[in-house]
Amino acid sequence: MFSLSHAPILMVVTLLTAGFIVPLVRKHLLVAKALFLGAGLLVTILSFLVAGNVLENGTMVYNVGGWAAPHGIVLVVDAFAAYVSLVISVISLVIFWFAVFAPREVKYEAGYYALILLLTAAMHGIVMAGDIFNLFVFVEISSLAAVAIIAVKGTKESVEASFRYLILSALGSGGLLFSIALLFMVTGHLNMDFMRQTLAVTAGQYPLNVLTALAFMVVGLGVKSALFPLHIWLPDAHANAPTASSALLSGLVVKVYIVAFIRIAYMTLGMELFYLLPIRQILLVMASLAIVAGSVFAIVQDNIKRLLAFSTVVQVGYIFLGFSLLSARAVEGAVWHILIHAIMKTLLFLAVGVVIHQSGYKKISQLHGLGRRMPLTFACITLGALSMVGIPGTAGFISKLYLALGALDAGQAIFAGLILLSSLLSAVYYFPLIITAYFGHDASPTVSEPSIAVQLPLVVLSLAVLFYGLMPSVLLPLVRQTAALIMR
Amino acid sequence: MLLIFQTPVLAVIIPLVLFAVIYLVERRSWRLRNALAVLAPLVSFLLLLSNYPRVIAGDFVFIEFPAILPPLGMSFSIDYLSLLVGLVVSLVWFLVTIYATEYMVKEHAKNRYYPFSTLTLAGTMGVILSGDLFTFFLFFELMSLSAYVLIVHEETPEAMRAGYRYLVLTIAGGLALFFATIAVFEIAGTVTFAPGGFIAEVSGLAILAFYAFLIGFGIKAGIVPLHVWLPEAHPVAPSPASALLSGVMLKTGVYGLMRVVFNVFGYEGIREAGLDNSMLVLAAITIFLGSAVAISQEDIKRRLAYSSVGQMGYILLGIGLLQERALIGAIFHIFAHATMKASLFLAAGAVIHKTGKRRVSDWTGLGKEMTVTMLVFTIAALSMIGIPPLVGFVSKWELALGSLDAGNWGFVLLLLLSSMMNFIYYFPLIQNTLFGKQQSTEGQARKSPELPWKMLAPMVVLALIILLIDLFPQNPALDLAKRAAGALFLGVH
Amino acid sequence: MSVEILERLYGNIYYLTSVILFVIGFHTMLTHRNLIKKLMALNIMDTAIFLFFVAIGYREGGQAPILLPGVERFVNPVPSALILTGIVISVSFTAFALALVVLLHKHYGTIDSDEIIAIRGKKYV
Repeated sequence: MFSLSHAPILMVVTLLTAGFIVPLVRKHLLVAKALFLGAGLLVTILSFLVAGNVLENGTMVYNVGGWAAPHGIVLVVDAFAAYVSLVISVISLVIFWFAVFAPREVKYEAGYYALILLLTAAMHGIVMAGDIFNLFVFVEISSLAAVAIIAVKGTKESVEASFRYLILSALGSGGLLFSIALLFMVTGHLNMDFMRQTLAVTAGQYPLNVLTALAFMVVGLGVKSALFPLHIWLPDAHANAPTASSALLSGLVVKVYIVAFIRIAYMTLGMELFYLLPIRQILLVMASLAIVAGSVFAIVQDNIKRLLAFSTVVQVGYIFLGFSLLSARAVEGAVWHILIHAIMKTLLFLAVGVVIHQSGYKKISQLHGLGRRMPLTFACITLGALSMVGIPGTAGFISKLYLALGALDAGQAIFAGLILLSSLLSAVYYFPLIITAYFGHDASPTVSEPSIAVQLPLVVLSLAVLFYGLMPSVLLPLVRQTAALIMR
Repeated sequence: MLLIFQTPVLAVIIPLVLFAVIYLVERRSWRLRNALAVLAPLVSFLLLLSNYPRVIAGDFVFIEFPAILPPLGMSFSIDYLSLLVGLVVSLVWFLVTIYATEYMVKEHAKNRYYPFSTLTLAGTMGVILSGDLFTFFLFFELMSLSAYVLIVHEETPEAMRAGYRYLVLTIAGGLALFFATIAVFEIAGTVTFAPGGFIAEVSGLAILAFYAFLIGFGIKAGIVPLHVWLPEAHPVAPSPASALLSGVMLKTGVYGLMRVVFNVFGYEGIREAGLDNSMLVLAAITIFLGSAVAISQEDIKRRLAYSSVGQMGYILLGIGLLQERALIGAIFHIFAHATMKASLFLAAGAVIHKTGKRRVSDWTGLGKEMTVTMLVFTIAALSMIGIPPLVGFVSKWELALGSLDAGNWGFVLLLLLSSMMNFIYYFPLIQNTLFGKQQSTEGQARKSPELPWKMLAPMVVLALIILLIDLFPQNPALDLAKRAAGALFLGVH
Repeated sequence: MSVEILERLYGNIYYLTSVILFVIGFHTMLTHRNLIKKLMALNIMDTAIFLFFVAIGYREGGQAPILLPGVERFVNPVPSALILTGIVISVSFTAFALALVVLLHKHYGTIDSDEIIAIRGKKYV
């Protein structure tokens, strides 16, 4: 019987290995594609098994090479890690499928697949890493790969955007490494569990170190997760990337850095710190600004992909808002939103990518009547947009519900109002997309639907949007456990 | 498991399923499409009617689905109020849809109209049969959003503009409702409607929630100053859709307000917190402005739309007085206004369909050409003015008595004033159409029948209801309204 | 008093140096428009952090942590080991960034960030 205890490392290793093999077999593109998809599928299955196991038996700890902490490197799969890596593997499998079957956008396909595989491996690694330095290493791998999957498009704009992303990302990495150094100074540990225990004793003696570390980390991971006002790289980068990359970046990568932040700031430094320092207020203000400013920027966009990118800035604000409200339901809402935003933003980016490829139109004002030419694709876009606005019956409503309830629980009705205001604003920028597509004079008759293989990911994600909108209870236990773990 | 097959759930689910079915079959057969679209409200109506004896006996229906959308869950219920409103809504919907099958022949994109009409029906039935605020809110959103498609049906620039305004306001209203709902949940830990309300102390967040409710429902019901979308949106929609919007969908706003006032806050809590005053002030403004502005409207459908605004003010008045008599008037007026306004819009639509005349001044002498239509229009308009024994009179009578009970003479005067204004904008129109001389003679050559029966029959049925229901020995609608008001007041006077 | 401060500064000379290096790098990064110089600044910043990290593990008179008779003071090997990884990462970042600079030069004909933005701004949506 296959032992599940190796599954966590296997997930990372499978993806990494596939990432190295795929470029080697680039001459046989079919093999490369099969390998690419196979790795994704295998990891998805593993992540389901792991999540089931974690739900049943509690946290899994894997000692790499048999060396236990604090000396060895460990992978820790708690409910949070299991949940996020489930999200990553499922969403990335859908994106893998799309990347394989969608029309070509990049020159070196096998290389592109390899980069995506590396990125996915790194994301799983970030989520499961038990020690802070490995987390950093995975963050670096993912940063590099994330920049690379933008640049592969090879256009003027994408190279420029990716370079800007790279510089800011490197700055962020510097901040993160610096904060790790400071924390190491105080604790002498790198393992996050031991760090936590030591910090409980020593944090009081070196408050300045911990404070500086926290500040550097907020900036470092804030840049990478595009927390307003550190988001300036995001709209260009996400809007100019190939379709699959945009979906991957907006849907997953940004959120993984939030997970890393939660891991270090909440689960390692501990909650007590949040009550001592004004960090919570700072995060709340930044998140609120992200929501308001992001929405305002999104409203004035005519380019669809830029609109979606700004919407990501808003949604990152949602997630940070939920985490910094610090009430059980708000944290649950934020945890929900990690999944739900991944589903809907991936759906929207993929669908919009399909539309752009089929029609050549990049602007909302050009979409007139396209809904009749591409009924299925636009049905998916409509569903995704409704979900973004948070219409009941779609997944977006669930996270909105939990976040708003959480804001009231925390006694902060004003943030509930903010969430609702942002829903209204998102209606203002998403509905024109739907309205122009369905009403008004007809589009050119040459535009047609893509092949079924390309539409399949869209349909799957749309069904997921509906499913979680109506039946959120399926994942509720995992979400609850995750929130409880974070609020510990 | 079997809970799904209970009446209130079925009355919602069947239209919802038929929406999908119509969408799938409509390209193959337009007959089947039309038949299914007519069938949906009929099934809902019959299902509710089958529960009539049971509910009259005092045996209310309540079904809960706590597992759907935790932590709030969903539930459905039928009591006197939802039975009355549900019956009216599905009946009017049924008649209007029959009318639409003929009216829409001239229109484009019929394949879009019927499914979305059915979807809107599902939302409306869900609103009415919901057993708690959260379910109410969910279906309210479904109804509001699918109604957008009906409003912009013509796709003219005016329709798109009006539709956009409607959409933004309706979403804002939905968010206000959402906020209010979760605020109530936060305060009380439950959102299930309960007789006498369940909020123990009305203060702070609860007051905020009440105003949020007022905004949300006010937008839907067209309460001044939140009515700005209504006179734009109702006229641009195709006439059957206008009839549904004005006749039926506005009522969900005031229906929700009734639920909130009596089944969430409890009228005593409202009175103690002084929240009834805000409703009364809004009602007075709405009645006055709605009626006054209607006088100056040349476009018949805009005139009818403004008239609807004024009539919603009556119902708001009936709620805000917090008197059983007045509430009876308000509840009965839901029924009365639904039938009256639907017949007015259908008649106006028939004229526009046949002659294309939207301006009231062009209607002179139309009575000779379209006798039945104009008779229907006349009956409904007289009822709006409040001539006994038509339905409009009954609700005004009860409302006036309720105002007197509350010791408030001012509102009686306001009702009289508003009736006067109704008279001013309906009567000359009636006079002109029935007795005026038609200027042009080109229409006389037409010997064709006035209208197809599918358009005439629904109007005639509605007119007969308006004319006859109060002549029954026991007016069934008034009886239900009395029971409903009694239940909402728990027998306390 | 001032002597005390100087002594404390000298005692933390490695940290001090790394902070100064970091600020130099950061300043250069923000003020220079040449992309290559920006990358160099980035490397200086990285080096500053590496120095800081390694300094944590350093002990006065410490030796390599190999168990030999007579060796009693060790430096902490963990930071050095980590920084080895850090340097690798930094190198790959730089290499990749330089490749991008080459691409940028190919597309825009310049490696001046302001000029690139100006060129791109013209046909910018």
